[in-house]
Amino acid sequence: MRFLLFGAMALVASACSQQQPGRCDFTHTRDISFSELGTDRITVRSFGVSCDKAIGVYEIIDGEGLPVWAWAAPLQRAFGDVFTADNPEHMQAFLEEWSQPAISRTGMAPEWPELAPGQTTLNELTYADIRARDLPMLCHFSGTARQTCVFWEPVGGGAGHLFDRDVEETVE
Amino acid sequence: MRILLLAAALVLSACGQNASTQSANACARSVTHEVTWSADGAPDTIATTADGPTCAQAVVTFVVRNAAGDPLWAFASTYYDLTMGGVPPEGAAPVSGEQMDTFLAAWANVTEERTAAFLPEWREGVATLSASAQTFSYSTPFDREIYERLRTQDLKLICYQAAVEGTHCLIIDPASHAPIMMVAYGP
Repeated sequence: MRFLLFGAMALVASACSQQQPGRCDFTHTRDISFSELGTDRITVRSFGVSCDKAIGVYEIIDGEGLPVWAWAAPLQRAFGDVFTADNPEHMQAFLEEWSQPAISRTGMAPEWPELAPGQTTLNELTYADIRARDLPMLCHFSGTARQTCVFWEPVGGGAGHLFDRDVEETVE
Repeated sequence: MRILLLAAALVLSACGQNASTQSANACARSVTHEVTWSADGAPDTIATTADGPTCAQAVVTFVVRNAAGDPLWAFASTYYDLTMGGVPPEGAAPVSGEQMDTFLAAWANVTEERTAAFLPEWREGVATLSASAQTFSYSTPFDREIYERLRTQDLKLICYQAAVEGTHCLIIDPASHAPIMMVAYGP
């Protein structure tokens, strides 16, 4: 009877398992103020069969629960060989660090002539207009010593890519 | 026997709590599609997924992995931005699971092309690729010399939707063997 009891419990418990062992599915969230419409939320997550093969996703959700920005990359390709299959704690620490963006204003973005080819996908007129309006700007890491900066557009109520930049800081 | 039934009921009840936590994420959907791109004879897998409290609020991801499961490329956006542009207005119609599945299947079904035939020539003396093209507006991270060298090598190209009217096209860089975006284009 005892074997039957433990067997049944083990069987049912294993069927309920939500997380497959060895996978690299982690999430970290942080409340920030970016859109000027209240509290926004950043959710960063990793997913993959192991942490050396994981994808990272960076999401900004506004106060109404609507996603206004999402970015993704294979983490090892973006940040180098720092993610190993046998150290999921490192991934969790990385996500916590990653969820801390730099928030400023578009007026602090470089002027058009200072941009290198490929640094922005906007044309000169649009870029200069966004910069001149001094809108909220959020920069998150998108690679080693590399940040992606997005702006908040109050008219449309969404965020868009402004430019990418090299930075001296590195994500541990 | 009564103890056995009670224990099973307890475990099942705990399982039910887990399930209800899971169902709070009301839009978790995924579609996969195979494409031969990074290596001949070893198909890559494209997985498109949606994740959000509702499908209208979903963040969607596009991930390409090679036959060994190594990630080659990832892209993320929101369902609404890819289908309508921007964020949903107040009172926007809900998005059903079936609508999301249709979108994810179409998104994963990338266009397969060759660079020489598909991409516009960047003519000598023209300042930008876009100025050299006729139908669409193009941007590329490369200068003319590198762009033309890659284009004329006639490489395999896969193109996926990256905005309502925007497309990104990827190649495997013959030098580094890494995937790179060759062009983004749209109206």
